[in-house]
Order: sequence, then C-alpha cells, then structure tokens
Amino acid sequence: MARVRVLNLVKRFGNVVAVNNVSFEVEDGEFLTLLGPSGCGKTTTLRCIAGLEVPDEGEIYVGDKLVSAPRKGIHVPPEKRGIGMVFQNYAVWPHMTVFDNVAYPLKLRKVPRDEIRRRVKKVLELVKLEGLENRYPYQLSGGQQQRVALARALVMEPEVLLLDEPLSNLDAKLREEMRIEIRELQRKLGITVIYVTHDQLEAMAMSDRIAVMNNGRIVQIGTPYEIYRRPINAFVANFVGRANFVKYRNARIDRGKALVELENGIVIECSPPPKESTDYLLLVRPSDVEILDKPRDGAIPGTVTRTMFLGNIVEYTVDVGWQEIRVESRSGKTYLPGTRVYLGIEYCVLVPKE
Amino acid sequence: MFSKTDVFENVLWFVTLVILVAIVGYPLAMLLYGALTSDGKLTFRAFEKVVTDPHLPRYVINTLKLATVVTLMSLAIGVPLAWLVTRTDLPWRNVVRILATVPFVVPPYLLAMGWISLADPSIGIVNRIYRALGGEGYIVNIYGFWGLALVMAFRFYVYVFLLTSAALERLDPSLEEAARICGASMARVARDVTLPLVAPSIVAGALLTFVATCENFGIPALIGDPAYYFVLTTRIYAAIDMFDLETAAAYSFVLLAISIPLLFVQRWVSKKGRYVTITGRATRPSVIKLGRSRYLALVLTLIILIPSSISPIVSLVLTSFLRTVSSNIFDPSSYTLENVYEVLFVNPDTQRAVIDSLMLALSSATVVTLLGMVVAYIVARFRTKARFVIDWLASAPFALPGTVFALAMIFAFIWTPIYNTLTLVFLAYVARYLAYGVRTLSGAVLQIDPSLEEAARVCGASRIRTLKDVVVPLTKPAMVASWILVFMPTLSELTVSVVLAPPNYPTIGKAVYDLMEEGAFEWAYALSFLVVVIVLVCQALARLIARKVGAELG
Repeated sequence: MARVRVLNLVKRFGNVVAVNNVSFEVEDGEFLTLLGPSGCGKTTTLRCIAGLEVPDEGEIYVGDKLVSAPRKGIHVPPEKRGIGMVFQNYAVWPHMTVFDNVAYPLKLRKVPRDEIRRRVKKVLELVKLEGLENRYPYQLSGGQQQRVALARALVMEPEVLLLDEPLSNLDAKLREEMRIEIRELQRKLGITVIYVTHDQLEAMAMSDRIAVMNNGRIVQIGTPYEIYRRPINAFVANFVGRANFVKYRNARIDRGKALVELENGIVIECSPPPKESTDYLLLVRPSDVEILDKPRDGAIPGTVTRTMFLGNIVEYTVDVGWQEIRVESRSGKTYLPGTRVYLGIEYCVLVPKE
Repeated sequence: MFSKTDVFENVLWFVTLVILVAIVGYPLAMLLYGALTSDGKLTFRAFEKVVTDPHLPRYVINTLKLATVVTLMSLAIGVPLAWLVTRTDLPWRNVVRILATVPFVVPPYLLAMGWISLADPSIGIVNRIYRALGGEGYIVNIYGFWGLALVMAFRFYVYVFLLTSAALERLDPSLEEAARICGASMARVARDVTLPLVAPSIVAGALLTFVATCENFGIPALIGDPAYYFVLTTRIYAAIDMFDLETAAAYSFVLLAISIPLLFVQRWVSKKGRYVTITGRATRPSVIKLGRSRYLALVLTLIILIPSSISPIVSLVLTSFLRTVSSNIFDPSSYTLENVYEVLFVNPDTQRAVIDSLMLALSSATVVTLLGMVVAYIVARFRTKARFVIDWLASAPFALPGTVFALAMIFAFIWTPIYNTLTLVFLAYVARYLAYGVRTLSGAVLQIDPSLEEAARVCGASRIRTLKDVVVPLTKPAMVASWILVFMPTLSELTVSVVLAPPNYPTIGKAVYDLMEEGAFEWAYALSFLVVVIVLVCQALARLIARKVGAELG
C-alpha cells in the first residue's frame, strides 16, 4: 500500500545544501510531521516527494514504486505520482469556481460527468463546503479557500496526502478548528499524511510521529511524547516547547534513573537521557515546576523577580541563587515579585549537549 | 543548460532561442560583420569611413544639437506640467492629463504632417489665414531647426511628463510632512525633500527624450530634410536608398555610440531612483492650493497644450477633407470625402498599402503576443541559463533605432528570397515589437504564484495542460493588451517599413512618406486621416478593455 520511503535524500540549490542526507519512512495510514524552523529543508523534502523538485541524490518510494532516483535517472513527474497536495497559500485557481477547482483532477482523468458531480459533492460535504459550488475563490474566506484546496487534494482519493504549512495563513481560532478537522479526516479516510509545519503545537496535536529537522537534516524522529519528554539535544528541547537548562554539580545515571545534584546540594531524580553522551544538560520545562509558598522535601528555595499574568497561567521568573528559572503556574494564587517561594520539580530529564 | 528530467522545458527554450537568434542575433551579428569586412576580408572600412567622411561631423553635431534643445524644451514643459497635475488643485486636471498624452498616441510622422498642414509656408493653414487677412508671403515656416525642435519637443516631452508625474504620485507624503514638522517651509520642502527624491525620475525622462530624438526618423525626414537640416537617421536612410550600405553602417555605429550608452545610464538612473519611490501604500499626495491663481495656471497650461496636442491633429483632419490642398479653406464647398474615398476604394497603390499594413499588423500582433508569452514564461519560470540570452535578444531590437535595425535586417537577409518581400517586414516587426509583448506579459506571468501551476501538476496535469488550463486563462487580459499594443504601432509603422518594404508592396507609412515626397498631398493626408481614425478607435478600445478587466478583478 502507500508506505512512503525516503532514503538518503540530498537536494542542493547552487552551493546551499537544502536537504542533507535525509531518510525516513512513513507507515501506511500514518500521520508524520516534518517540524523545523524556516530554512531547515522540510518544505524542500516535501516538494521532492511530490516531484516538484528534482533531488540530487537518494531515492524516494511511494508504495512499492520508485519515483525518484537521480542516480538511476528516474524522475516520475508530479502529475504521474497520484499524490494529493495542499499548498501553504492554498493555490486555489482564481479563474475557476469551487466546483471547477475540485473537479479538475477528475476531469484530467476523464471521469464521466455524472461521477464527477457525485464525487465533488461528496468531498465538498466532507470538508463542509456544500452549497458553495458556484462561488469564485475571491468570494470565499481564507478558511473556506483552505477547504477547497483540501477537497481538491482529496477528490481523487490519493493514498498519500502532502500538506505544506496549510494552516499558517489562518487566524489562531480557525487554526485550532482545522487542526482537529484535518486529523479526523485523515483517520476517517485512512490515508497516509506527510505534514510540514514550523508550529510545534500543531505538530504535537496532530501527528503520530514527528521528525524534527534542522539545517537540512533530521535531528530526531519519534512520537510527540518522546520528542517533548526526551529530546535528543538542546535544539529539539528548545524548539519543541519552552526550556530551562538548570545548572548542576554532577549527575549519576543508574538503572533507568538519573540522580542529579544541583548547585545548592539538593539531589533530585530525573529521567535518563535518550542516548549516551559525554556531556548533558538538565532540562526542566517551565510547566513542570510547581511553585509553593512552604518548603517541601527536594524543593528549591528562591525569590520571585518577575510576575506576568497571562490569563490561563501566571508566568514567573524565580531567582534560585545561582540562576533564574522560568515557571508557568496554573494555581489561582499569585506571588508578587520579592516573595520567597519554593520550586518543586515534577519532571526533569538529562539531554545530550550535542 | 539542458535539464536532465524535463524534455518540455528543453524543447521550449531551445526552439525559442533558435527563433530569436534567427531574427535578432543573426541580423545584429551581420550588421557588425558587414561593417568590419568588405568582400569577405577584414577591412574595418566602415570605421575608416567614420573618420574620413567629410559630412559626418555636421550630421553628428546636428543630431546632438537637436536632441539637446528638444530635451531642454521637454524639461521646461514636462516638469511644471507634471507638478501642476499631481500636486496642485488645478481645475480640469484629468482633461489636462489626457491632452498632455495625446501627441504620444499618434505616430511621430503623422504629428509632423499635422504641423506641416498648419505651418507650411504655402499650404499651412496659419499662413493662409494670414494671407486672407491681407498679408504677403508667410508668417510661420515649419521647415527649419526651430520648427523641427518644437515639433519633436511637443512629441517627446511626454517621457519627462509621465515619469515625473509618476514619481510625484508615488512619493510618500509623510516624507514631506516630516520635513514640515521639522520646521521647513513649503519652499524648503520642495527644495530639500521633493526635488531630490524625484530628480532621478526627471533625469531618466530627460534621457529617454534625448535618445528618442536621436533615434526618430519620421519627423526629421518630413520637416528637417526640406530645410536641409540633416540628422543621422535621415542620412542612414538616404545612404540605404542609394544602396551605399557601407556608409549606412558607418553612420549607424555612430548613432549607436550615442544612444546605447545613454540607455544604460537611463536604466541605471531609474533603478537608482526606485528605492525612494516605492512605498507600497496608495496614499494621496499633499495638494498645494493655488488659490485664485489656479485659473491663471489652467489658462497658461491650455495655451501650451492646445497648440501642442490638438491643433496639429485637427489641422491634419481638416486638410484631409480638402478637395485639393490649395482649395479655399473658408469655402465650405472645398470640403469633401472624395480623397478618403479615393485612397480606400480607387487608387490601387494606397489600397495595396492599407491591405499590406493591416495584414502585417494582424500577423505581427498575433505572433508577438504568442512568442512574447513563451519568452515571458521562460524568463519567469525556467532555471536554464539560456533564459538570460533569450531575455536579452527579445529586448535588444527595441533599444536600437528603427533605421539601424532595418539595416541589420538587410545585411542578414539580402541573399535570401525573402529580401524585398513583406515577409522580411513581418520578421522585422516581430523582432522589434517583441519587447512590447514580453514587457506586458512578464508582469502578468510574475503575478501568477508558482504554486498555482504546481497544484495543477500534482492534480495530474502535464506541463502543456498546465499552461492551457492555468497560465493562459490568468494572463488573458495581458495577452489582449499586448495584442493591441503591437497592433497600433505596426499598423502605422514608418521607420522600418520605409527601408524594408518592397516598392510595389508599400505599407501605409511608406505610402504616406512617398506621397509627401512626390507632392501628392491630398492622398497623403487622406491616408493619414485613416490611420488617425484607426489609432484613436484602438486606443478607445484598449481603454474599454482595461476598464472591463479592472472591473472584473475587483
């Protein structure tokens, strides 16, 4: 079926190596997200899979079919790959109605007119655009144009769907709605999805697995939980969620646990690193710190230096003597700057420096 | 250069390159070759000629003197007019704007004919009125340096006017307001902020005027030649007419040595001026209240604009209705449609010219639009290095004086059967006006986001299908615009066709020119009347389409 395999993919633009030896596999029906900052090569990787870019090295399989292999002179053009794709700016054709946009892939395949009408109607219902068939794109909102693009990609029932930052042009509220909708559609249709985004929340909310990319390489690939809880280096820790790197005197890794002695002599128990290294950082996420007004066993004393009320959370900066630690607190109580507090660390993990 | 995976791309750019080399690259190379050799031997004869020709210094000085005076006059008219139209509360601003660009719509040689009908010593309407009032001889004579300079200035100041008013309009008013808040008076703001910011545009417009004056053939041929005021373009034509191609080539290189460097400077200056003008915001510039003097300003403007734009055309139309050019202009019975009827339905030569020009204009407008679309697409989308060559070849002929390009076509095709046929004129038109098509269409292609095409590819459309379903429909308005933009000037073209058209198959432009030379004024004017009508109708049509497209888009 539609397993996608990318092997040792390399793509250069002039002297710039946009994609540098990237390999990954996407299982049939899996939702994989390529996550990374702009310029990390995630979109180029996706465009290579679509056939819109010709790779310089490596191989790409869609299902059992080899679609790109520059060494062997193989490059299946995009129109022959049978992949669905949604572009960042929707790429809805302004001179065609909603119906014509969505029907276009079927027309190219010479599907009979009755069946085109039936299938377009079905897919428009799926993306909740029924009744808008005769509108032109300029008469639609951004969110509706997005749905047209999605319907157009889905109408030929592809086994693989590529999505290139499809939500980045929508406002925050609509974005959250569409996240859920796309994920549900994917589950319902059982298609394989490769999704590109720079938004870590989006990636975490939707994906079965995330491949974090930086400088043209995949840094870490794993479930959202693995990526967030046990990042493989400081870059991933910083990029996926917020991070405090707490200074410590020494750490002992023993039987699936790490015992870390902090600068003030307190010893806390943390998760072990995901891989061996010579040097580790101690990652404490601001949301994994509890702020207390009374001392507790293993809690670090400190003084609040800044308080920011953000509605659902209160964000503090706490001076613990050897450094400042950021804390996100959900408790109703608010501590003003200057207040003496104690920080209870609920989760911490050692992260390889490199 | 060749892409390993994309056959379509390779075929398309290669075929385009071959066409452009054949109709542009090869003629230009042959022009150079013809100048460097004689009977196949390297001789530099043309360049010897440049040094030894006894008349050449005078022609060069005449050309430069004329261009300098025309440029100064254009600045004197164009800059104040641009300021009045964009920055003051001058009444009837839009009427003034349209009047100011009228001389730009008709081809230069028709403007010259209008002025001749107005101020020729014997047939000129002004002089006839003068004689009817009891005067002797004439009071105005268009033939001469100042007549020539005035007619050219009235035609070519439009460059200064258009570029300056565009710059004034785009100038962000907050730049001027900031200076006011800093304590500068209106006059100081104009001197310290406005003028320096629009100066590059004024200079760019002046340079265009200068080059256009040097390169123009029609006006000096009709007004300069009778007064023995010879410039380079008219002398190149005279040399070709006597089949002295060596002299023609020598003069051509001198003309190119003047115009090409100036065009480079022009491009550099207008690029330099761009950084200040583009603000992206459509803001209304601050308007200066002229108070009571606004009507005085309007009267002064009209005193310049009515003679410069309306009177030559009105005079041309009147003259074309006269039974003979010496008929009494005050007697209503002198006016008749006989001559217009004659050139259209009786005289086989002028009929031939109308048919030839129509066919040439229809075919070259169509071919330029199609080829221009392909060139624009290649330049905008393909990654092959050949696109730079294609882009250059497509725009080069238009930067050359028409007379010089026609000479290059002679050098290139004199040994072929298409020499002395309308096919050669057609090829020359396509090469020369291709720049119009490319410029109009590349803007439209660049506005199409590449993802619109990629989306079609992913949906299953081939490259050609994508062009047909996405690119062509989205550039349709630009294609119509390009077609009209090429149709109008090719229909009335003079400079290239006067050199290349075979004697028995003249174009309208060539026929008008020959009839003027022969003194058959009635038919010359009747024929030019037809051109004016067609050009004005096309112009109106173009405006209508532009408005319709504008309405559809927004």
